[in-house]
Amino acid sequence: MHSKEKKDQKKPSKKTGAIVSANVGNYETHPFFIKKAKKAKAYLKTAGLPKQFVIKP
Amino acid sequence: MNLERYPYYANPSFFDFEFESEGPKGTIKKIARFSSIGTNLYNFGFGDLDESTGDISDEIVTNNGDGEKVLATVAGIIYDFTAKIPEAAIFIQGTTESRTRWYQMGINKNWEEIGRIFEVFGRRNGQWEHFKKGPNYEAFIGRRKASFSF
Repeated sequence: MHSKEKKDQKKPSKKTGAIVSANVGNYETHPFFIKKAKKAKAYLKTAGLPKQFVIKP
Repeated sequence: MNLERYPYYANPSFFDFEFESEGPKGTIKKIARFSSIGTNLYNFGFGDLDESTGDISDEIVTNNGDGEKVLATVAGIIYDFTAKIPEAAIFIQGTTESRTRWYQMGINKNWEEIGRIFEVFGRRNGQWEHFKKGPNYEAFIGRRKASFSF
Protein backbone atom coordinates (compact mmCIF):
# COMPACT_ATOMS: atom_id res chain seq x y z
CA MET A 1 0.00 0.00 0.00
CA HIS A 2 1.30 3.50 -0.83
CA SER A 3 1.93 6.13 1.82
CA LYS A 4 -0.97 8.27 0.56
CA GLU A 5 -3.28 5.32 0.87
CA LYS A 6 -2.06 4.74 4.39
CA LYS A 7 -2.86 8.37 5.25
CA ASP A 8 -6.44 7.83 4.09
CA GLN A 9 -6.92 4.99 6.51
CA LYS A 10 -8.52 5.39 9.84
CA LYS A 11 -6.99 3.74 12.86
CA PRO A 12 -8.78 0.66 14.14
CA SER A 13 -11.52 1.56 16.57
CA LYS A 14 -11.31 0.28 20.11
CA LYS A 15 -14.09 -2.14 19.35
CA THR A 16 -12.60 -3.75 16.24
CA GLY A 17 -9.23 -4.69 14.82
CA ALA A 18 -10.26 -3.75 11.30
CA ILE A 19 -8.72 -0.68 9.74
CA VAL A 20 -11.36 1.12 7.73
CA SER A 21 -10.06 2.24 4.37
CA ALA A 22 -11.77 3.59 1.28
CA ASN A 23 -9.08 1.74 -0.70
CA VAL A 24 -10.68 -1.59 0.07
CA GLY A 25 -12.78 -2.66 -2.88
CA ASN A 26 -16.51 -3.18 -2.90
CA TYR A 27 -17.04 -6.77 -3.99
CA GLU A 28 -20.83 -6.75 -3.83
CA THR A 29 -21.17 -7.43 -7.53
CA HIS A 30 -18.11 -9.64 -7.94
CA PRO A 31 -19.19 -12.92 -9.62
CA PHE A 32 -17.40 -14.97 -6.96
CA PHE A 33 -19.48 -13.54 -4.13
CA ILE A 34 -22.70 -13.49 -6.18
CA LYS A 35 -22.21 -17.21 -6.84
CA LYS A 36 -21.43 -17.92 -3.18
CA ALA A 37 -24.49 -16.04 -1.99
CA LYS A 38 -26.73 -17.88 -4.47
CA LYS A 39 -25.32 -21.21 -3.37
CA ALA A 40 -25.86 -20.34 0.29
CA LYS A 41 -29.45 -19.25 -0.36
CA ALA A 42 -30.15 -22.47 -2.25
CA TYR A 43 -28.63 -24.53 0.55
CA LEU A 44 -30.66 -22.77 3.24
CA LYS A 45 -33.82 -23.03 1.18
CA THR A 46 -33.48 -26.79 1.43
CA ALA A 47 -31.91 -27.06 4.87
CA GLY A 48 -33.80 -24.25 6.58
CA LEU A 49 -32.37 -22.45 9.57
CA PRO A 50 -31.91 -23.72 13.12
CA LYS A 51 -35.22 -23.00 14.86
CA GLN A 52 -33.45 -20.53 17.17
CA PHE A 53 -32.61 -18.43 14.12
CA VAL A 54 -36.01 -18.34 12.51
CA ILE A 55 -37.47 -14.85 12.63
CA LYS A 56 -41.12 -14.99 13.55
CA PRO A 57 -43.30 -12.67 11.47
CA MET B 1 -8.84 -13.48 20.37
CA ASN B 2 -5.18 -13.02 20.96
CA LEU B 3 -3.73 -15.24 18.25
CA GLU B 4 -1.26 -13.79 15.81
CA ARG B 5 -3.09 -12.41 12.79
CA TYR B 6 -2.54 -10.17 9.80
CA PRO B 7 -3.63 -6.55 9.80
CA TYR B 8 -6.92 -6.40 7.96
CA TYR B 9 -8.79 -3.65 6.26
CA ALA B 10 -12.49 -3.01 5.77
CA ASN B 11 -14.19 -0.67 3.37
CA PRO B 12 -16.48 1.94 4.93
CA SER B 13 -19.53 -0.27 4.33
CA PHE B 14 -17.84 -2.86 6.60
CA PHE B 15 -19.07 -5.68 4.36
CA ASP B 16 -15.79 -6.15 2.48
CA PHE B 17 -12.42 -6.96 4.02
CA GLU B 18 -8.92 -7.47 2.68
CA PHE B 19 -5.62 -8.66 4.07
CA GLU B 20 -2.38 -10.07 2.73
CA SER B 21 -0.98 -13.48 3.49
CA GLU B 22 2.80 -13.63 3.42
CA GLY B 23 4.86 -16.77 3.11
CA PRO B 24 7.05 -18.90 0.86
CA LYS B 25 4.56 -18.55 -2.01
CA GLY B 26 4.78 -14.77 -1.81
CA THR B 27 2.13 -12.24 -0.92
CA ILE B 28 -1.43 -13.34 -1.54
CA LYS B 29 -4.33 -10.95 -1.22
CA LYS B 30 -7.29 -12.42 0.63
CA ILE B 31 -10.78 -11.05 0.27
CA ALA B 32 -13.69 -11.64 2.62
CA ARG B 33 -17.23 -10.44 2.16
CA PHE B 34 -20.47 -10.71 4.05
CA SER B 35 -23.27 -10.98 1.49
CA SER B 36 -26.81 -10.39 2.65
CA ILE B 37 -28.94 -13.44 1.92
CA GLY B 38 -31.94 -12.72 4.13
CA THR B 39 -33.11 -10.74 7.12
CA ASN B 40 -30.14 -10.49 9.47
CA LEU B 41 -28.57 -13.34 7.56
CA TYR B 42 -25.21 -13.14 5.77
CA ASN B 43 -23.10 -15.53 3.79
CA PHE B 44 -19.41 -15.36 4.59
CA GLY B 45 -17.39 -15.64 1.39
CA PHE B 46 -13.63 -15.83 1.42
CA GLY B 47 -11.00 -16.38 -1.24
CA ASP B 48 -7.71 -15.44 -2.85
CA LEU B 49 -7.64 -12.51 -5.25
CA ASP B 50 -5.67 -12.88 -8.45
CA GLU B 51 -4.69 -9.25 -8.88
CA SER B 52 -3.79 -9.72 -12.54
CA THR B 53 -7.24 -10.98 -13.56
CA GLY B 54 -9.48 -9.78 -10.72
CA ASP B 55 -10.65 -13.36 -10.19
CA ILE B 56 -11.28 -14.64 -6.69
CA SER B 57 -11.00 -18.32 -5.89
CA ASP B 58 -11.44 -20.46 -2.81
CA GLU B 59 -10.47 -23.64 -4.59
CA ILE B 60 -6.74 -23.02 -4.57
CA VAL B 61 -4.82 -24.52 -1.68
CA THR B 62 -2.39 -21.70 -1.08
CA ASN B 63 0.11 -23.58 1.09
CA ASN B 64 1.67 -20.35 2.21
CA GLY B 65 2.59 -21.87 5.56
CA ASP B 66 0.38 -19.48 7.50
CA GLY B 67 -2.94 -21.32 7.71
CA GLU B 68 -3.37 -20.65 11.42
CA LYS B 69 -2.60 -16.97 11.04
CA VAL B 70 -5.07 -16.73 8.16
CA LEU B 71 -7.74 -18.49 10.23
CA ALA B 72 -7.09 -16.18 13.17
CA THR B 73 -7.47 -13.20 10.83
CA VAL B 74 -10.73 -14.59 9.45
CA ALA B 75 -11.95 -15.05 13.03
CA GLY B 76 -11.07 -11.41 13.75
CA ILE B 77 -13.03 -10.28 10.69
CA ILE B 78 -16.11 -12.24 11.75
CA TYR B 79 -15.75 -10.97 15.30
CA ASP B 80 -15.57 -7.37 14.09
CA PHE B 81 -18.44 -7.68 11.64
CA THR B 82 -20.72 -9.12 14.29
CA ALA B 83 -19.62 -6.43 16.71
CA LYS B 84 -20.96 -3.88 14.22
CA ILE B 85 -24.09 -5.88 13.43
CA PRO B 86 -24.72 -8.00 16.53
CA GLU B 87 -28.00 -9.41 15.24
CA ALA B 88 -26.28 -10.80 12.13
CA ALA B 89 -26.31 -14.57 11.66
CA ILE B 90 -23.35 -15.74 9.59
CA PHE B 91 -23.57 -18.75 7.32
CA ILE B 92 -20.30 -20.46 6.42
CA GLN B 93 -19.75 -23.33 4.04
CA GLY B 94 -16.58 -24.17 2.20
CA THR B 95 -16.58 -24.88 -1.51
CA THR B 96 -15.11 -28.28 -0.81
CA GLU B 97 -15.31 -30.65 2.15
CA SER B 98 -11.69 -29.91 2.97
CA ARG B 99 -12.33 -26.17 2.95
CA THR B 100 -15.31 -26.68 5.28
CA ARG B 101 -13.09 -28.78 7.55
CA TRP B 102 -10.55 -25.96 7.52
CA TYR B 103 -13.21 -23.61 8.89
CA GLN B 104 -14.18 -26.25 11.42
CA MET B 105 -10.56 -26.57 12.49
CA GLY B 106 -10.57 -22.86 13.24
CA ILE B 107 -13.75 -23.13 15.28
CA ASN B 108 -12.43 -26.19 17.15
CA LYS B 109 -9.17 -24.54 17.96
CA ASN B 110 -10.80 -21.46 19.44
CA TRP B 111 -13.98 -23.06 20.67
CA GLU B 112 -13.52 -21.98 24.28
CA GLU B 113 -13.71 -18.33 23.28
CA ILE B 114 -16.01 -18.69 20.26
CA GLY B 115 -18.52 -20.72 22.27
CA ARG B 116 -18.57 -18.07 24.97
CA ILE B 117 -19.40 -15.30 22.54
CA PHE B 118 -21.34 -17.00 19.73
CA GLU B 119 -24.09 -19.55 19.45
CA VAL B 120 -22.97 -21.82 16.65
CA PHE B 121 -24.84 -24.59 14.86
CA GLY B 122 -23.41 -27.21 12.55
CA ARG B 123 -25.35 -29.14 9.92
CA ARG B 124 -24.97 -32.89 9.58
CA ASN B 125 -27.19 -35.84 8.84
CA GLY B 126 -29.82 -33.45 7.54
CA GLN B 127 -30.12 -31.53 10.81
CA TRP B 128 -28.78 -28.49 12.54
CA GLU B 129 -27.29 -29.13 15.95
CA HIS B 130 -25.41 -27.08 18.49
CA PHE B 131 -21.80 -27.14 17.42
CA LYS B 132 -19.57 -29.53 19.27
CA LYS B 133 -16.02 -30.63 18.65
CA GLY B 134 -15.67 -33.94 16.88
CA PRO B 135 -18.33 -34.46 14.23
CA ASN B 136 -17.67 -33.25 10.71
CA TYR B 137 -20.24 -30.67 9.67
CA GLU B 138 -21.19 -29.66 6.16
CA ALA B 139 -22.04 -26.05 7.04
CA PHE B 140 -22.14 -23.68 9.99
CA ILE B 141 -24.28 -20.84 11.12
CA GLY B 142 -23.65 -18.63 14.10
CA ARG B 143 -24.41 -15.33 15.72
CA ARG B 144 -23.48 -13.43 18.82
CA LYS B 145 -25.15 -14.35 22.05
CA ALA B 146 -27.31 -11.46 23.20
CA SER B 147 -25.07 -10.85 26.20
CA PHE B 148 -22.16 -10.17 23.86
CA SER B 149 -23.77 -7.45 21.80
CA PHE B 150 -22.25 -4.02 22.03
